[in-house]
Amino acid sequence: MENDLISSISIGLATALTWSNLGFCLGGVLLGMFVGVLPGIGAMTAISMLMPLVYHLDPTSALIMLGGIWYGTAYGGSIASILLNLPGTPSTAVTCLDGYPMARQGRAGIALFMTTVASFFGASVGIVLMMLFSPVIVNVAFNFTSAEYFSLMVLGLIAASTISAESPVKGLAMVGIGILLGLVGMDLYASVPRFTLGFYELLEGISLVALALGIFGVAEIIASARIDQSGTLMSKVTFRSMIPTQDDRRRSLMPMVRGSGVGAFFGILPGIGPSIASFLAYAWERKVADEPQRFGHGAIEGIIAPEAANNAADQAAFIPTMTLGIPGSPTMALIIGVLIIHGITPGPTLVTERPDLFWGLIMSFWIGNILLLIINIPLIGIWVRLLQVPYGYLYPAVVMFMCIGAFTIHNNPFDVFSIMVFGLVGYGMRVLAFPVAPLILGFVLGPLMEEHFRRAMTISFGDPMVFLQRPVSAGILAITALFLLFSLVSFIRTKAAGTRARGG
Amino acid sequence: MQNRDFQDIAGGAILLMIGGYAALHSLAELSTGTVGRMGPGMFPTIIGVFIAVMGLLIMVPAFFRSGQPISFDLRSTAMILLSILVFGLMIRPFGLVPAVIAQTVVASLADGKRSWREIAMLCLLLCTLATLIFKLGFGLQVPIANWPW
Repeated sequence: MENDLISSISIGLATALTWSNLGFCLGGVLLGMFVGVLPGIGAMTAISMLMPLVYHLDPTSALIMLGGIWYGTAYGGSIASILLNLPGTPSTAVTCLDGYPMARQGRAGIALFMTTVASFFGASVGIVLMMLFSPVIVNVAFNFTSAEYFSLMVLGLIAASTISAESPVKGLAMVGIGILLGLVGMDLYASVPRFTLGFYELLEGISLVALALGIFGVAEIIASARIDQSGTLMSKVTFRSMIPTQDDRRRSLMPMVRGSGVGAFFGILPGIGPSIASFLAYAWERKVADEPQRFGHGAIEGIIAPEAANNAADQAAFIPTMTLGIPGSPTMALIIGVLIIHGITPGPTLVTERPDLFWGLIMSFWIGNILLLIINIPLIGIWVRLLQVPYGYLYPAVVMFMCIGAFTIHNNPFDVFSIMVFGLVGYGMRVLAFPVAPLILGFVLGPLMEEHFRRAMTISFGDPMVFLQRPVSAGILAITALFLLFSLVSFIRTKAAGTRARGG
Repeated sequence: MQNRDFQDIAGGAILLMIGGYAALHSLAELSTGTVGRMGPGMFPTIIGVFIAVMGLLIMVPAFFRSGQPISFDLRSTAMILLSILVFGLMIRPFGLVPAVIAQTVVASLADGKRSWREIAMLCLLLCTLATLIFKLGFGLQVPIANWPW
């Protein structure tokens, strides 16, 4: 076991330490920080903008770079949260609550330094978990049949749609729409086109890149184009101002440990992303605090715990994605999409047959996080200046990159028109308060789910009880049912509380 | 506040239509097969019915509660989508630079706070960037500029 780990690490290092992969890692984390700082453009948009370029890279380099963007955004996002009270990404929104008050008290330097340390700590916990647990999960997963995979996907989709969404019914409906969009194209078993509306371009199915670009990117731009997004800078940050006091260090240690634990746990569960993990870590920290009234007025615990949590969750989210092929978040769904584009099916066989890819990716996480630890602080000045550029210049530029990106998918304007249509759909969903993330998950998992469903039913000669007779599958479905029940009860409770509050 | 939750009434109704269409279309046009050997229509029919039921669950309660009015930014929506449309229409016949210029100008009209001078500067910058990154960097298969007639 120990020897296995050491040899795996050396395989990974050999892959990750080539000059080109180091370059992709650095490029990824820099770009991630950049979009993390910018409000309105998150990891999702950045990754979907870069997907067309990824066709030209080998899959390992592509994953290293996209992974860098994903965890880099959490570092960048906290800078905008602390200095400008603008959540650069959703997962750092909670950092504003205490980070901005700290900046107003002239403690921005300490806040930035300590969040960087906490981010690195959280990420390290996530990566270590991934190194230790992935081989275990892989061993278990080798015994999985289509029935288990189908049940796991149902669990992922139900968890994603009920926990993250305000209304579980809306989340479930969006999963359905996503699955339906995923079915567009040629049916592989019967060679019959489905829902192509007569467009021959749709025979191959809707392009994941066009869907993500439109429904996240374009919709985000439409919603934000006319909102003035400039913050006011509170204090100058010098290196001297970053040295934490004895009291800061003492207060930060336990929140860092607890935050990482919360983040890693929820990161592994499908459907719960870093945003929810960071909110839960903050809530927990306030609950265990000696003086909860300090929270919201610049308590350092209030930035340490969520920052450790979102970074731990960012890394842990790769565990189910890579070992089972089941994405926990829309961004992880895009990562799976990249692998599928290159003809690689994520899952237990990937870990054993392509150890260079799997362990190379993990080792690149270490390298990327060490890079972020080093470059985060020196680059703060540049990011702050960048935030002073009026949004009116930025958004047309982003639209341009999305248009060209869409065009390059197949060198065909059809994909450009697709992002226009999906942009309208995405904006309409925002207007009507429907969550977007479950749709993307449904889109990626839909075709896989159908395949496993059909296969399991064929093997069992049409007996749906197969999903309940196999113990692992039945257990997963039982957890799913609990999720549904729990979210339904809490939904009805909050609804009832809301009605009572309004009535009284 | 309005006396009905029009947000969810509209959302639910749209879902009901999409789900209904998907289910009926699959039943009519695709073969469902049997549970043991499923045809291409079976899974979409199930999903369609599921979406329609969710739509009903969202729509019906919304008739009996008050809600927020629907707010829709028409100008921003129209200009951003139009800018993508002109890019898509122009990229093949006219080439990269004209398409980027048209797209940038139309997109800039969404917030309408920039002067023409500023928009022109932005166009210049973006055309340079696009040419450098995509034409020279990634070898995009499109001419820089082209006159189709």
